Amino acid sequence: MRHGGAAGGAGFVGRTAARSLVGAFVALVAVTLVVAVVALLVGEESVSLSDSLVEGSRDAVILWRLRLPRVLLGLLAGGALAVSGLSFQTVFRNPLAEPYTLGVASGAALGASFVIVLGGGFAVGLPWISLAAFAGALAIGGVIVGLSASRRGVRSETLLLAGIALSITCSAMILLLQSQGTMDQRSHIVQWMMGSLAVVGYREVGWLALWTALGSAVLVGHRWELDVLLTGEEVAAGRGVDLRRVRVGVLAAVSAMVGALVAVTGPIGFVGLIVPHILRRLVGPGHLVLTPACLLGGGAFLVFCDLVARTLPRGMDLPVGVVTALVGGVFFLWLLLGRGGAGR
Amino acid sequence: MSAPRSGPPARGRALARAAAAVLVALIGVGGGPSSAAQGGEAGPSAAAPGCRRVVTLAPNVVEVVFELGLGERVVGVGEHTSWPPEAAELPRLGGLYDPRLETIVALDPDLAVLLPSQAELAGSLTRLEIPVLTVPHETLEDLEVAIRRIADRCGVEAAGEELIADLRSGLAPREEPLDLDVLVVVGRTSGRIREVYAAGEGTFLGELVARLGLTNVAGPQPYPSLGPESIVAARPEVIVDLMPQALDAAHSAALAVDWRQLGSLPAVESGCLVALGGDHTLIPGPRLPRLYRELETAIDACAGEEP
Repeated sequence: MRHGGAAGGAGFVGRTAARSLVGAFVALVAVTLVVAVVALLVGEESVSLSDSLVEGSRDAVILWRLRLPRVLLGLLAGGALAVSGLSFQTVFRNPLAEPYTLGVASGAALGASFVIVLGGGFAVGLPWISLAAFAGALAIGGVIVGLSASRRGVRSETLLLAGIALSITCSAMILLLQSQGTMDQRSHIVQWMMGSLAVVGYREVGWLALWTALGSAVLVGHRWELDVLLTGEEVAAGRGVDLRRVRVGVLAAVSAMVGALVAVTGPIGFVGLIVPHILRRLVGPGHLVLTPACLLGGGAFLVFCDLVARTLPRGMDLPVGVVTALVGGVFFLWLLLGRGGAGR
Repeated sequence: MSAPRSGPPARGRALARAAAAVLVALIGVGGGPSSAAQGGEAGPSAAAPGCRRVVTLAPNVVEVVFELGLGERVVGVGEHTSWPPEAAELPRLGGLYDPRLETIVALDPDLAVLLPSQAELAGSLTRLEIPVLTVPHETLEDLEVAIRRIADRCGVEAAGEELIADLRSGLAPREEPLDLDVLVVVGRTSGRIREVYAAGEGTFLGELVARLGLTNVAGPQPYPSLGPESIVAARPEVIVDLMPQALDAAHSAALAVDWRQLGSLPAVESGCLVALGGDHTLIPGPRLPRLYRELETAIDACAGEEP
């Protein structure tokens, strides 16, 4: 994996580079704001800003209780996915690693599938589907963290393969549940696994803000170790990085963050894979800079994709995950092959 | 580069404490529908019923509401609604599990009729102060419960009882059982026989089969997935393909050809391969008597009896 080899990130940049970094961040913030504002103003229904200020009006409900929470959830979910992908790509030194590589999303999907087939409503004010999805994600995350904490020392490759094995096992169990369910339950499981940012009110936004803040804080706290890891595990160990401790800390934080995210939105693919790669080209590999860049860029990307998904003509409804793959895939290819990236 | 700083154990404990505190705070906020949402009314307006502007995403519920004479009160329907034709002209509200919440709010409904599996949507609508009525839909008894619940809520109890009586009459058990082993396959794509979903005994389709005096080889599971070996072992004497779209002769023939790949099944040898298509075949609604008659006629023809 090529991260450019710079282990210091922002700490090593010169004045010119610092200026371009500031410019990149200003651009990212501007793009995020523009996308968020457009996503707030455009939707399935047209709304009047003046009417939306009348409490209890139709437009107020649509704008402040449906659309704004959806945009905020998209910003948080996209940011969390991108930051998770970034950390996994660094910890596993694998450019194909992404938030769902370790099976956390599959664990969540298995939990949700159980509830869909067995039936469930609400517990303590939260949907059982979300609670079970979170529990499933934490269970798989716990296994992975447990493996990484093993005193015997488990290699990164082994962890990755273990994650893939867990993911495949969960997928098989989901198929088993589907085969036992009704047609309705089958389509419910499929729909849940496509992901969605639809939300009412701010409860889910608060929930995800908490976990995104915690996960991102842990990553920023480990920024030095993660930067050194870019030069290779042996070099990092030689420079005093406790690989096992870093891995446990990062995997635990990211697994919890991804679990909380998937419990609310379902699995939304591709954001965590491509956004870190795109932004690494823009702001460099240092985690002090790249982590907040991913929070902004991932959020803007997901909100944009959701805007596309929900404003397509009637009859062309697409899950947001399909749009992230289509838009992201094409853009990423263009970046890799078109803009002088092929030779890199 | 600086050395690694504070160790993860201390950080982990602090994060865990913070997470637990906020989790408790968030759970305390509540907001989901009451447990009543699983079996009836929910939402703040449940005590003051309204039924002037009804939305529903389930095609079978739309059919029930129209059949009760309440069609003019329906303001929005689900993406897959195709019957009755006037319902198909109404604003579309998305699929069962991917509803267009903004459109629902814009229609200002005073009642949303949902299925038990739409608990998440019930929670969302309750938070939006839109009253919810939940109705079951898996069996024939569920259909009667749904009709009665909607009729009661909308003040058309007599129409509800009349519709239930019509259904009972149209779905009356056959006096002379057909006494054949049948496999009812739902929504298969033509091509070759791989895993297919069959209607089990506990489903509304399974109940129709039982009322005709047929033995359902699919067993007690609702919609088991059966492979070719299971089908060959079950040796059905009649195979029924139910498709959600209208079938032309070529499509029906293609479906029959698929079964011939399985060789010496009794149904293949006797030519008892029935294909029924149409948007009424898989919807547990008021049009079930039509499907029941079609099934009886087709299987009667196989058995060499007059309907």
